[in-house]
Amino acid sequence: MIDYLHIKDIHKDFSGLQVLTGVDFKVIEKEHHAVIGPNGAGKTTLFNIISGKFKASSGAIMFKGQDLSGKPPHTLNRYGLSRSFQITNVFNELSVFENILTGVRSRYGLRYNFFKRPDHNLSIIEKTKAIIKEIGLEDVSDLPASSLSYGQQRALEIGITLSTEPELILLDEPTAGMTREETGQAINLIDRVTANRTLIIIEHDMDVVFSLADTISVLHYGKILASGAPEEIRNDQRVKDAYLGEG
Amino acid sequence: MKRSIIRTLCFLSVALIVSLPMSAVAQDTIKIGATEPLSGTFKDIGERYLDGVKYAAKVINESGGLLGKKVEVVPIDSELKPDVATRKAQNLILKDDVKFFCGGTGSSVGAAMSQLAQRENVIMFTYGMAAATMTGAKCNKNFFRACANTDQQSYALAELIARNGYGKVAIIAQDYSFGQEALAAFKKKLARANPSAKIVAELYHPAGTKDYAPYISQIIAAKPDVIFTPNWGNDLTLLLKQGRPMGMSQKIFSYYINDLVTIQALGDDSLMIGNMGAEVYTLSIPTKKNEEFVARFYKDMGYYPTWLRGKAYLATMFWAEAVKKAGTTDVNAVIKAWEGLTYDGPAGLWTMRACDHQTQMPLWFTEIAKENKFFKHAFEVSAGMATAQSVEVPCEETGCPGLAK
Amino acid sequence: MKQKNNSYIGIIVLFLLGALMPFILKRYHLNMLTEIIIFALYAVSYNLLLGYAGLLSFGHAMFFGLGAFVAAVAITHIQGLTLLSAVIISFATTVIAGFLIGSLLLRHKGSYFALLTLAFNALFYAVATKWHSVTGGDDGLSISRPELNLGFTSLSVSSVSSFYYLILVVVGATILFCWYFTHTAMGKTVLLMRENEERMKFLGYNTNISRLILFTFTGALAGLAGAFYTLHFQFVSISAISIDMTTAVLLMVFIGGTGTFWGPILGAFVYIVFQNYLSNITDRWPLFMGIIFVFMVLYVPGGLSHTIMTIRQWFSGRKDNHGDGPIKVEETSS
Ligand SMILES: Nc1ncnc2c1ncn2[C@@H]1O[C@H](COP(=O)(O)OP(=O)(O)OP(=O)(O)O)[C@@H](O)[C@H]1O
Ligand SMILES: [Mg+2]
Repeated sequence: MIDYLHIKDIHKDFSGLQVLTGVDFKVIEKEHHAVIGPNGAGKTTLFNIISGKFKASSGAIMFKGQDLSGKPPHTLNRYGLSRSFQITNVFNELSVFENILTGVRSRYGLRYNFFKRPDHNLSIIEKTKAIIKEIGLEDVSDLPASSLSYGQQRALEIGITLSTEPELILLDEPTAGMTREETGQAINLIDRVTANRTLIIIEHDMDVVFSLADTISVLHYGKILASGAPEEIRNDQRVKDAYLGEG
Repeated sequence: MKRSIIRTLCFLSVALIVSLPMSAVAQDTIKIGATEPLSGTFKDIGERYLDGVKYAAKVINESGGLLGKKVEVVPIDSELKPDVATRKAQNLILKDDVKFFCGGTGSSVGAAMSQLAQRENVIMFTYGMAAATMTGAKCNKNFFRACANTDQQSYALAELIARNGYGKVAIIAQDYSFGQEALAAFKKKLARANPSAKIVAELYHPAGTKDYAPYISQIIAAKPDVIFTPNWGNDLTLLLKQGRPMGMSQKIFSYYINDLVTIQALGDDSLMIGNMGAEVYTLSIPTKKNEEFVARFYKDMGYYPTWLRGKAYLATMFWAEAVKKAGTTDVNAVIKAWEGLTYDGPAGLWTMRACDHQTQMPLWFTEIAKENKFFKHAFEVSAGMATAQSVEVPCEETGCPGLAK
Repeated sequence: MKQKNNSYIGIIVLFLLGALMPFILKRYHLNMLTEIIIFALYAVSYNLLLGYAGLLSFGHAMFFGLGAFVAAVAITHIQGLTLLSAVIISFATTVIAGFLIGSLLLRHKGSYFALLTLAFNALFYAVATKWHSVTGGDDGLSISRPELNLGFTSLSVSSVSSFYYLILVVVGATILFCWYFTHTAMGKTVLLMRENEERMKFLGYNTNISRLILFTFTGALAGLAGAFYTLHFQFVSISAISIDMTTAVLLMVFIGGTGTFWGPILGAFVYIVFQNYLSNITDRWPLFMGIIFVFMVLYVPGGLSHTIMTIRQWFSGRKDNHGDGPIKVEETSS
């Protein structure tokens, strides 16, 4: 039996600074997996490595039996992997519609075509509208991203991540900086859109973690301190000592 | 958005039509475009040529014009770039229906203008571009040369050296097509005019050389009787400035020795005295007509029609003769009229040869002397002439397939 | 839908207006208009590079000059070559050159890239100057415009008006395609890469390849403009491949403004008209052009198109925000 996703002994140092020192865990297909850990633990760095932004110093990313390490982001995206960013990373000058459209047309293979207009393709338009509806931004569909509220921008961030219809979704602190109410909506949204897909989510907010995750991995000092079902982690003494106690 | 594009463009096209002054259609003048570098390094040369052309127009206009019309010179700043010259000339053809062009500077400008003339069926003539190929392999029926080419000028200087009995000759030239062509013609003629003459040194240096010492030592070591060089500009002045103090005391036979600007720039008569040259026009030509011309020019302008001015003047007058003979400004008629036409002007009898449109004319020798009629400093005095026949290159040898039908 | 019809009508009106020009304009002005259309293509190609993709190149003239020289050399050496074949040969050559040079240079970013393009342009210029036997060196190459072979018949395009029609149709259509291109998948891709390249990568776009394709494409468009430049003047010299030609396109684009698609077309118009008039009045015209350039960069950074848009919005009383990049304009146009 081949593992769906195996993060295998990942090391990463930034010119001497050891950030990851042998991260190793597995993700089962359709599982919702949370990665938690204190600030600066290296969670985002891990995402950057999985999604191809950085190369690991050593180790491998095995996805359905294939080694993905070292592959560029655009290739990984075509394998069905898509990520969001901790700091909102959208096309500010573009409308919500065009933001989403950009991902959708990529999924439909309309990336470099010299002759076809993506905005003339009905199925692409339908798909784009569907995603916008899903993230609840129909009312602001024609406004530029920069004019949206913070919560709307975070929703757009998730929407763009979904727009290429990935099977493996990586969300980096999707609710960071949101109000209570917005967080609640975001949990609903994520729950809805990631049903039947594999999700890895980085979160500090334990409410979010416990309401979304099937499995939790704790990243501490560059290593996985513990990995298991939410109940196990909640009761793990080492985790309590290192992390949960303060939060 | 789109509508604004249309509106803008409509507006612009209307603006284009309205704002541009329509050129006068009435043909009460005969326009002649003079392509010269009127800006940049060679501006000074271009302006002197232009001066000559303008003076010719003035003389013609003062004596009743050409075919009853005034001649109007349109200066074209070629910037010494062939694309600039042809572009401006083309515009003049389209705008004012200009049929005649002339120019004296830059063989590259000349070659491009020659091609343009052929394509647009206008006439281009030169009073200064010397590359033999322009009336040789690249000749065409719309291009005329009313000055000597490198062959004729080298022939004349070889003739002069042979005539004076000098047996050992050193030659030095810039290492590019002009220098090479000039030398080849010189050697060919010298071998004929004085079979016993010897080339004791043959040196090429890059154009724009700063240090002539190595070349000068070689020349001195070869112990020539005289030195021949087609060098011009700094390549001539530096050769003299550095050579004379090193002991290179021989007479120099040069293409451009009678250039007033060079002589004045050198500022040291001793470097120049005794050197000799040959040109189609020099101030010192001892004919009655030339003396009258020089006197009139001096009276009108306050300075002499030295060298370039004189050359441009003569060529323009020759062209006017052709138009006069044709009795019309029709290009084909003028071409036909000019072929075989003779012009008896200040520099002797000129004949426009039909086979290649190269003027056959005598070349006038000059020697630089302290005592002269024109200036306090050293300048040219007359030193005889080479007849047109003695410097003639037969039609068959030019490489021109033959223009006259 | 209404917008769409409007643009089609606009295009048809433009071409009809263009077709009428030979009946309205004198030969001299028609000739100038021909030149303007050719340079408009050159400016549009540069704007796709600078305004849309955000790539600052100081070497666009190498493609323009290459296209110009290849057309001239092909016509000189291949007997009976038809006009369109010459254009196709030079287009193909610039495609290959653009691809090779792009592969080499696009590894570098920003000012390194800009400097390298400058260096490459200088290299091309040096080769054109020294390789006398092929390029004619300082003398340049004179050609005669070949006939236009349409398969069933041959047309002469030696007259000012027939050549104008050829340029209006062929170059006009190419410019039109460039406009269309900015709405296509590829056009949007390069535009968005400038906006947020990282996100594009994570959405499955190979941005390096996209940039290379765009660089090649704009180079080939410049080459096409160069080929028609040769055919227009029936002469080409090293000026066509010199830094001056890069300066010229920079000027056109800055005068017109990089913010819109049509700005550089306006820039080409102003540049050519100015050049023709100024160069007749004064030999210092490059100095005046330089002053205009400095003035534009300092005081009208958005170019004429920006000014026109501002005035237009002012009049229509609409105060919607207008940005610097072409992105904003896209929104209003599509
Ligand atoms: N590109 C980089 N170059 C150098 N150091 C880096 C780089 N990226 C991250 N780091 C360092 O690596 C460490 C881990 O950073 P990372 O962003 O992965 O932490 P995190 O777990 O995501 O923290 P947070 O919860 O605050 O988002 C930090 O000390 C950070 O300074
Ligand atoms: Mg982080």
